[in-house]
Amino acid sequence: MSAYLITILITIGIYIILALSLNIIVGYAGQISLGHAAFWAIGAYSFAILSVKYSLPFIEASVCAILITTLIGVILGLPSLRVSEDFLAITTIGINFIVQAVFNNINYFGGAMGIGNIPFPQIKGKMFSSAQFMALTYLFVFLTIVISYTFRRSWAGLASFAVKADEIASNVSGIDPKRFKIIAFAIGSALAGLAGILYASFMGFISANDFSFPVSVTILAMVMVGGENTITGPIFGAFLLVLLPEIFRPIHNYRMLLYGLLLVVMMRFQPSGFFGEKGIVWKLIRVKKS
Amino acid sequence: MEVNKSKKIIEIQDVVKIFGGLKALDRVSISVEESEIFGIVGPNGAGKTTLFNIISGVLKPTSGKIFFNGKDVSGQPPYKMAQMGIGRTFQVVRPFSFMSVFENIMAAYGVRFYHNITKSFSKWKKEEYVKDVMLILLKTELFEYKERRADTLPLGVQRKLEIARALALNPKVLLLDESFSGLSFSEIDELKKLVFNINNEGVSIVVIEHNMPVVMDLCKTVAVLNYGKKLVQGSPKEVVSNPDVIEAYIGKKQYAQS
Repeated sequence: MSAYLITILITIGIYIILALSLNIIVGYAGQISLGHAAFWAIGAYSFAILSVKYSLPFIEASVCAILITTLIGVILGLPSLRVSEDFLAITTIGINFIVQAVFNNINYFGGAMGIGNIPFPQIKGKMFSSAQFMALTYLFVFLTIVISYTFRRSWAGLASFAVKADEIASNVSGIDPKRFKIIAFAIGSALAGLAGILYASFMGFISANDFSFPVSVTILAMVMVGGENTITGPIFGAFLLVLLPEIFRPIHNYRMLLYGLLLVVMMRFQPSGFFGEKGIVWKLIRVKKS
Repeated sequence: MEVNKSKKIIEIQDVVKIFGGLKALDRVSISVEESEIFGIVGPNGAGKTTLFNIISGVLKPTSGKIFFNGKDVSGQPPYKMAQMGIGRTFQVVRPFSFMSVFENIMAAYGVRFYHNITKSFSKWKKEEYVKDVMLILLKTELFEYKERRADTLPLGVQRKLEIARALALNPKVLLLDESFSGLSFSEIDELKKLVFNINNEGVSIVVIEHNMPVVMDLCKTVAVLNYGKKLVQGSPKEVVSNPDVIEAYIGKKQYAQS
């Protein structure tokens, strides 16, 4: 496989993890988040600092990075207990900008220069090849799918859906909405942290601009275009939105325009996404069957 | 400790609720005995729904106390009230719109597991739970709708769904907020039968209702609220002939003066 293809596939894998993790917060628990890149950044930066500055081995650094991201995710998820919908969207945008600014301006985090020389994972002193790294990425993708699926089918998943549908009605049905929002934020940010580890380790160099607000919008777009509250949807969305700019490379100058157009057309004709409940994909399959 | 002589399932003592400058409830005291059907009536804006919101924990009382089964539960959050056994419906229905009828009821059935973090992550679709929910579906005559999305159902069915969802909590008290309004005569009869059936299983029921014939049929005791105050309490017959109640609904008798 060519290096280009492997890079694309790894990028897709990382975005699948991001889209599925955001889907737990947005699709399952109904808490709109426009700052998901912040959690991705926290995972990437904790991993980078632990492995570069404190020379922790890959596994230890990863575990710590996930724990840190989860903890910060829960703390930053606390506003969602007080504000909802539009206000939560604005709050999460704010979180994204603050996190980016902190990484960009504090020297401990490398400042505007970012952090370089982040190590690739190793086995027995031997560095991973790109193909092995891709296998690792898709192992984590598989893990994320399993977690998403298990969560969907658990009581916690059912409770999250109820909170999403109607917070007061869920509350009088014995569900503590705060508890399940926090659980969703914890799982969502832990998985975003995982994506951060893969990204930092794969790129070898990270800077705060990699995790800017437009990235959060892209992740949310993957979830919405594919179909929120499904598992196939965000996976498809990640494929589509990573591949589209690559396919449109010859018309480089217009690709953001096409990208924007796609989102507008989607919102107009497929508001529940390609794989959503009323999505076009299921309609086509049903037509073929009958 | 509060001593409980006659078996009172709900006891409201001097509850006051103030919204800004408005006294929605003004020292209201009501007690509901175990396994009775208790009615609350009153003109619009009398504070009936506010009272339900306070009993179910959706609103906290400004002052006063609520006892459930002899235990002080004032100011507890709704999900704790639900865990203890207070189920309620809403005047304007609030089903979990994008979920099926079956899932709606299952979500409330999960009250048995939500407090435990390990159980929260176990699978909900298990035969024993499904069986219990099916029984509720049959009892409330919702079986034929079980796979339907909740927001595609007619109002009467959504009302029943809310009752079914409350029943999944295995409640000791059921609060029905105008469950009969907007229903056809046949739907009213069906729902009345359901309420009696639930009551026969030992569940105490509190109804807010404008439809007086329904109140007369269902309730043993009725309390009348007006402007946030309790006017009277008694049997439905006593209440409808009480001059204060008549005044609250249709005004005072006036004689022409010469």
